[in-house]
Amino acid sequence: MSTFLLLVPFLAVVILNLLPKRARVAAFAITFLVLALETAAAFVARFVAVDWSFLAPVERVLGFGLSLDHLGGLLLLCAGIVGMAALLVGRRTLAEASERFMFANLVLVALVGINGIAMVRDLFTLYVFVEVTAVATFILITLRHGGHAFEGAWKYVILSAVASVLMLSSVALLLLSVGGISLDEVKTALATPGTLTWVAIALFLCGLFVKGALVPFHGWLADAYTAAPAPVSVFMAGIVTKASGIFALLRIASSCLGGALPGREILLVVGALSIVVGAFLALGQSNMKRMLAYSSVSQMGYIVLALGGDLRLGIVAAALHFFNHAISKSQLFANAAAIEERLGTLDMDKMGGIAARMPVTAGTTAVATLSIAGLPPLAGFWSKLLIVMALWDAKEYAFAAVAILASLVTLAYFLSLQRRVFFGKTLPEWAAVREAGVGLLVPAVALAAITVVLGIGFPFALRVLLGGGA
Amino acid sequence: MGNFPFVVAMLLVILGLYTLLFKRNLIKLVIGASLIETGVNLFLVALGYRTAGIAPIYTYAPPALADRMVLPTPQALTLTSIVIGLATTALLLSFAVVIHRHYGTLDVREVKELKG
Repeated sequence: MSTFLLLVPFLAVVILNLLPKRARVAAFAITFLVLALETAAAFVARFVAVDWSFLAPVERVLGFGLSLDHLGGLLLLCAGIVGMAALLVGRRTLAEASERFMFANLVLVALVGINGIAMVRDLFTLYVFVEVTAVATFILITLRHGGHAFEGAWKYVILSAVASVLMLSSVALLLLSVGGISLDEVKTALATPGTLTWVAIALFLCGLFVKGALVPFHGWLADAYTAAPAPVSVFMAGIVTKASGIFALLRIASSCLGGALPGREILLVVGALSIVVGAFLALGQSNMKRMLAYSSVSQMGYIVLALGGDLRLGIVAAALHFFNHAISKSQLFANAAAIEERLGTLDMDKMGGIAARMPVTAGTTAVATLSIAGLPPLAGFWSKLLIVMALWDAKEYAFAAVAILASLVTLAYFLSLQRRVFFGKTLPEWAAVREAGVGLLVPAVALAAITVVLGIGFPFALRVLLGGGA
Repeated sequence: MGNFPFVVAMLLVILGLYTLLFKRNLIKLVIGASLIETGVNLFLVALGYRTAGIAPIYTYAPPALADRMVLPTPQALTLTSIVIGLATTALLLSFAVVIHRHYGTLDVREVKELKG
């Protein structure tokens, strides 16, 4: 199973590039198929027992010591859904055939990295797959040529280079102090921790904070998201930043930190800082994509904060918020793509009263923003509730209060977005605007439907998604 | 003398960090990033080194030699990280070329169209 998940996207890249020039329109169909398979694989891994022993000869040659568990399955599910949404957006908004071909290829390469991250069992392999994802993303940002794109990508690449050095030196220090780098060995070593081991873990966490754009390492995120073309920002916001930063943190917190104290405090402080700083930065933005990017910083803070709470509940809460946010944020970026396509601008001060002209976009945006702000009965409410409960159980009352109060700021900036973009009288220059095409509405409506259904059917969904983990 | 490689690795990392923080030229920033990387790579190799050791290139190492071998894991890690470093450096340099073409300068202070 694990070998398949790496080989299929990789072989798909090879096949795409062997296609004759005329047949390259099929690239999107093939990539879509791979992503659909990925989504299916997440369910197969969870519900169906398949005997994979016939793969043993292949695994002996290509084994990386990978294995898939529930948490990894969740990442596969997110990657599949978000990837399909990004492809649909890309089909509408990328004008040139060569751009679309590159996009499909690079999404597949990033998918190899993401699938790897879902299954790693040691820190060095984690580092390698994080880098694979990152290199594909660097090129994705610069897909549409222009100065902005390269400026945004530049900051990301330089900070990523620093992050990878942090992770690599952490791996070296762990080799020195623990003698091994598999998650189990590190966990054993952390039971009787030495200073050097903690320094190493702290370095690795710092590297992941850069990748996940948590305060104080959030500088690159808004520039990269704004510079990237619409489908790429859907893909990045939905899955890339989350897989390479936040999911890796989830993995480390769940399988080696074990709720030990200095590590927990790092997570709590960084999480709370990100929530507050990200929310207030979002409040001050007038570019729609920039506001969404800072809102991402804030929401990633929630996930990290949850990991600092009571361990068992915290992981469930973090995983759920991870899923909810991947869905809602990629949907909001798809909405932004629709608005940019119709209005030709993302400056919210120039918009106003679009709701009357683009009702579907306005409606789906409202669902996603209210879900992220944590209003019942949408999906975002439940995961935030679980996060606060996890903090309460760990007796971190102050941090629980931060989580609740910051929700108000979240609501404030999203209401400001709604008011400036959708509400009020339609400005005369937008009187002739039409609703976005079906190609852009399908992903938005589908993702909004997931948010609503998951919110209403939450008690059932929790059991299905996490195998009764709560 | 045993600590000499570690001191050099440290120096390289510090030099690289200094370059990244205080230099304004895009190409110099690339140099800084790859200096840090080289420092960490050296650190990794020095970790696994054994005085008068032999290269760990065996499928099944004879037990008599196993004690004299240099540690294989750090070397494998270093090779991988060199490859990744190559990809990053190549990307950074090509970005620098495009930025120079677009803005007509390599000074980071003048490449500031994205704000907020």
